[in-house]
Amino acid sequence: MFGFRRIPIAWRSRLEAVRRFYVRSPEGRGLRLLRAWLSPPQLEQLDAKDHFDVIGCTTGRRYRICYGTSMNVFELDDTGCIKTGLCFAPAGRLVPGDVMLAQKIALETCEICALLVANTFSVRNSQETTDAAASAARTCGRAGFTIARRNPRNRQTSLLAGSSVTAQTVSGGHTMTREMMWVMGSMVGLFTLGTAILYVLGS
Amino acid sequence: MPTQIVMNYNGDTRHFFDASDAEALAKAEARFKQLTGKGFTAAVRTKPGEVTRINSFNPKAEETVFFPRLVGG
Repeated sequence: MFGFRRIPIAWRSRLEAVRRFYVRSPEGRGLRLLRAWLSPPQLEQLDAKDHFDVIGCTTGRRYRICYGTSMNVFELDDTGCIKTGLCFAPAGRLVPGDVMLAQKIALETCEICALLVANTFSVRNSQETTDAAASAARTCGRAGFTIARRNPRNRQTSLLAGSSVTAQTVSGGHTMTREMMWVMGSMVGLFTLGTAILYVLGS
Repeated sequence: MPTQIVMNYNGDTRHFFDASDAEALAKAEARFKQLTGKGFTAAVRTKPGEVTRINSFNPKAEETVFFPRLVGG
């Protein structure tokens, strides 16, 4: 309208990355530390795609660490597609760069320790692979993705079995989609509103 | 100069020490023990992109990073 043009999404993402890196903020410091500790291929991958892959030291499995602080680690299968999500992070409030570095170190030096504490979630939309799925799933359960937490009691057993367990097969696990949460939230809201109206009318 | 990098909510805190100074070295070792005692994990960079977890203080390590214990999300 006024001669302004929208900046393309790819450029915006890149500009945002540059801004995050150069601003003297905790986030910027975290990213600088992460970049200093990544291998050249990982650094290249981070610059190009906002995520990088690591190899587990014990099992040799491949994991993808996306930009973020939680639900940002994904196990990849042989074809490079996302198999399942892992949720683990250092305790306390840390910036994304630090969290990603801690996840990398954990997977590369003591994979089993990381897997033992990690909760898993399944990324059901298996048609979407690699980049698109990773970026969508890291925002933790947008429409189309189901987050299924595994029962901690079963974690060790399934870990030793070396299988990825989906929400449906886990006994004691629960599945709750975003839609269900919205419906429940709306119902609670309506109930509260109704109670308030009745209270006002009664008084 | 050898550095101990402790991750925190501010990004990180860096402690530099002179490896030839016995007092500074003792201080750095005490810091290492205190942090690992609290559950922090210590790791050093051996090559670009290659990290090793350490359980005892290494005065020769150029950079040692400490991060809090891992928890499931």
